[in-house]
Amino acid sequence: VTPLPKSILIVDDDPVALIVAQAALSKAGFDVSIARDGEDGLRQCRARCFDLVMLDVEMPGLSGHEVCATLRREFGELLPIVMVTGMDDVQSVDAAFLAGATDFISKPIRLALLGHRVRYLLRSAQIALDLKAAEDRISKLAYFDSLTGLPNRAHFLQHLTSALEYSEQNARHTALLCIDLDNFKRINDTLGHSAGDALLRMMASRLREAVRASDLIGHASLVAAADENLSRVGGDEFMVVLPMITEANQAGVVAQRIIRTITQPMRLGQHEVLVTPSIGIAIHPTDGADHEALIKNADLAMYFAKRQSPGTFAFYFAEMNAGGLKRLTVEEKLRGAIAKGELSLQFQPQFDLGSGLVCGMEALLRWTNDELGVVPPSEFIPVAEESGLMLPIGEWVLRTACAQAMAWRAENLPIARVAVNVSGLQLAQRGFAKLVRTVLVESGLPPQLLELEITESVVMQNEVWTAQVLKDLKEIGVDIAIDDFGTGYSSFARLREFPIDRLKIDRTFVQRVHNDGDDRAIASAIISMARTLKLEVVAEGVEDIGQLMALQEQRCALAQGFLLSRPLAAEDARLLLRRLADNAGGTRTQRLKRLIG
Amino acid sequence: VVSDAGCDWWRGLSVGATADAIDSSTLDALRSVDPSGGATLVPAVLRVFLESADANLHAVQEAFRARDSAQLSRAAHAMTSSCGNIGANTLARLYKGIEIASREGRVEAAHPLIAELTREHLRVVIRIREILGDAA
Repeated sequence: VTPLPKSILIVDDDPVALIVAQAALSKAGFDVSIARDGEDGLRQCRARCFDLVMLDVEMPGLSGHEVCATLRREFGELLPIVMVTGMDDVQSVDAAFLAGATDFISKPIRLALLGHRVRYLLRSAQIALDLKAAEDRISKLAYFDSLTGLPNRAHFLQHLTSALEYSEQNARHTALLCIDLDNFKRINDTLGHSAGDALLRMMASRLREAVRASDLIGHASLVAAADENLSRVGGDEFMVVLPMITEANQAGVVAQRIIRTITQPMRLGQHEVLVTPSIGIAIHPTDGADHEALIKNADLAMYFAKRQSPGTFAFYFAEMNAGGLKRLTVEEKLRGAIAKGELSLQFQPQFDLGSGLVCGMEALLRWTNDELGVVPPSEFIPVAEESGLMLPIGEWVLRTACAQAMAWRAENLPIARVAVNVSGLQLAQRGFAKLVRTVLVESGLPPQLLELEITESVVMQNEVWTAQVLKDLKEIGVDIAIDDFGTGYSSFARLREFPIDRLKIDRTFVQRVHNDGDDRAIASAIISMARTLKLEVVAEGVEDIGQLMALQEQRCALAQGFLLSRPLAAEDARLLLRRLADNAGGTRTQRLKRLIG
Repeated sequence: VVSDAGCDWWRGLSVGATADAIDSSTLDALRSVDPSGGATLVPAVLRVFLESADANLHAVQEAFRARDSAQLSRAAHAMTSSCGNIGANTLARLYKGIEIASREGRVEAAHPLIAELTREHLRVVIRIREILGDAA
């Protein structure tokens, strides 16, 4: 097959020049067309594609330079344009260059050489074309995912940035949809990677279909870029950009269509599989001012949708950021906390208001992470409970507290007992009593020196089970205290059925105990009823003298709180115990004064 | 006196009435690129030239009479190119001189060239008719 002859358009108002050049180039084997002025030349260029255009400079109407500039603008930088200029006309050669001409030929044209000249030009044009094609291939590799042919993460980031700019300039919103396939990992693991790849390709084409159908809501000028709006940014994670929307609901419509399209049974070999997508939606600029914030929040919304119910979509809302993201990070960091030695215990002394001596130390868990800093227990304990990390962490606390108590005992420090908080999960764990026994044996701590604190709400959640576990624990010989008492709405009658030694009155009551009214009455009632049940009462969170005096008035025996001592690092707790041992003399009031002062 | 302005393609060409009105080597070059083999392109080009030559000469003369340098330079430029294409080198040289003089705003300097123009034009036209007659 012989290649098609290269096509050339000659634009010249001089009929003699036209006929001569046409003859010379036809003779050289080119397919030659002619135009008698600039307008005609542009018309012909727009009607068909020429491999090269030869332009006379001086023509009535549009000049050669004007035609050249227009062609350059309309047909890109690769169309070879040759200006035919006067021999001595340096100005016009300069102007031709500025107008974007590829080369110039001066008059009178050397006819014998014209064909060769054009052939040389076409060759360098071909080289430029090949280079451009290679460049396109490279950019295709760098910016597209080879499995699905969709734009990849790098491309997506660029596209999102410009889509945000464009929408912003036009005072419109942009929606970002983050799509994750719910059960992809399981399919990939059970059916193999090639099945996983096939599934991803199929998903990509379904997504394309769903997103393309949504272009109607987009802006006309962005429809051309429709394929750029969908990208594969990770293993089974896709992103859809919806620029120029006017209301968030439009993104919801697209999300629904995507869910409908994806959630169709699919054949993979002899298996039929059903994949559902979870979709998170964030709207610019409301949900994120820049692409980073927007991606983060769409991702977060996706995570929420998936947790709530796979196969659904969720719009981002600010509370997700407040809790959700932090929780994810906390969980991730918490996993390594024990191994990295990031956990520690502080000890808050409990005082016997009657004797002014320390009667116990409550072990309080602290976590300091390199990146997160000091994370309060109120933040990481719920995460630990949800993620299953509570069991190993709880065990660590138990071991560490027992070992510390033994160390103090070995120094003959006056410690009555050490109190350790036990979560509901630990309590529900089979063999918890056995674990406590083992830890006590290993540490050598006498059981009666260990107090386990269990919150009232945990006790009340599963009374039958808890009663049994508490009985097992009591048999070992440890003390049992009910923590946060007063908040769990338990009846004293039922409390009787549990083998408990102590009640710790929740700080919310303690802090209002010297007020008049209901709070004081409740605290008073708790203390007197505890006395009836022969339980000791510990007041938690004592913060000022007024509270302390009110508690003493109510004949509350034990107290702990900032007024008496804040939680102390192990070494500081040791120093406190040492000081108390050395100053054991004097009256109760003197001892308490020394303590507070 | 014609300003040369670095136009080396005129160099070596015979000047004045003694030179051929039409350079036969240019016509040979045309014949060599004739897709039909040499017999038709030259007559075709010469006929196209003849069709507009009188009118173009007239346009140049009118522009000079009106001392319209822009129009004069444009009209002379077009003829320089046409004449060059058919090998009417002496005529092309006259037009080129007029084009340059008028472009440089020295319209009066074109006067002697304008005076020579008609005579050379007739020489070229007569020569073309001879060639076309030979070819016929």
